[in-house]
Amino acid sequence: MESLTTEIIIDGIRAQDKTILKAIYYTYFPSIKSLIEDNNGSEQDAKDIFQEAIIIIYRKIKAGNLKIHTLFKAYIFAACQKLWLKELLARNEKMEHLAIFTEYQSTLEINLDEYTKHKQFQLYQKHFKRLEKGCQETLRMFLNEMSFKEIAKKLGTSYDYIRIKKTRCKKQLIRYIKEDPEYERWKNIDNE
Amino acid sequence: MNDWIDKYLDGVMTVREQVTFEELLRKDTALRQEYLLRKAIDQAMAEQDIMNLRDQLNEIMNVHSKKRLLRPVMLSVSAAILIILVVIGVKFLIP
Repeated sequence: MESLTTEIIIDGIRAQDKTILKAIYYTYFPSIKSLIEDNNGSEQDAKDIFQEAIIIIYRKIKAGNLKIHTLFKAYIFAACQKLWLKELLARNEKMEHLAIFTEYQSTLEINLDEYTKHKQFQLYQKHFKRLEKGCQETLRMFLNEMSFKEIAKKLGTSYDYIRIKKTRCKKQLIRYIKEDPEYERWKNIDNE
Repeated sequence: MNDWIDKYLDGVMTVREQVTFEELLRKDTALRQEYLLRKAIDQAMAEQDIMNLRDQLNEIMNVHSKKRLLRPVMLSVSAAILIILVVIGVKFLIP
């Protein structure tokens, strides 16, 4: 395997290249796993945090504001540290036994609003995926700026049917989301 | 009221309805809260690429742990077979 340069990694994440993603996982996950497990976490926590880090990096690549001044290994390690700290704070864990966080300065810039939005979207998408395929398809079509009439035509059904279906699907999705305990945790606070 | 929000988000309101709705949004905190939620959900549903990436990562990570799980299982199976063979051997060879 050719060596993983930061450039290859970034291009791979941007393109969602399976081979590169796999290589990233096999190369960097073991150190993340020890990091989390040494600090009150499980292997599953480590996987969740690793996945979040990659997705946040992907978001940053897409938005054109990813700045990596160190080796990728150090970058993702610091990113996972930061995300795990946020998670522990959210879980109200006692921090006194944690050795990791004072030693390193994280280079991942992620503010609370960005993180909250990221967690909210994760929750919404998780429940969107639980909907039956027909619902997913219908809801998605509305996002593509298609009119009710165009959608009805495309699916070979009536305007009324598609409107009722869309309302039903959306209602179900919102119910799933609001029933999830995570919903309250990441809910927006309206400061306006 | 929720139907109003969806109508607004879907862009199927008349101009007059829109004005009325926006006025309500300014006054009614609960309505605004619900509106922001539904708007964010729409944005999240549009992120097909993020959902794909998550699926890919899940797949990679689960394959990895299955492989690792397999090893201890195979080890204990081979150990069990060995013990059975020894027991049978002992029984038959030493009458």
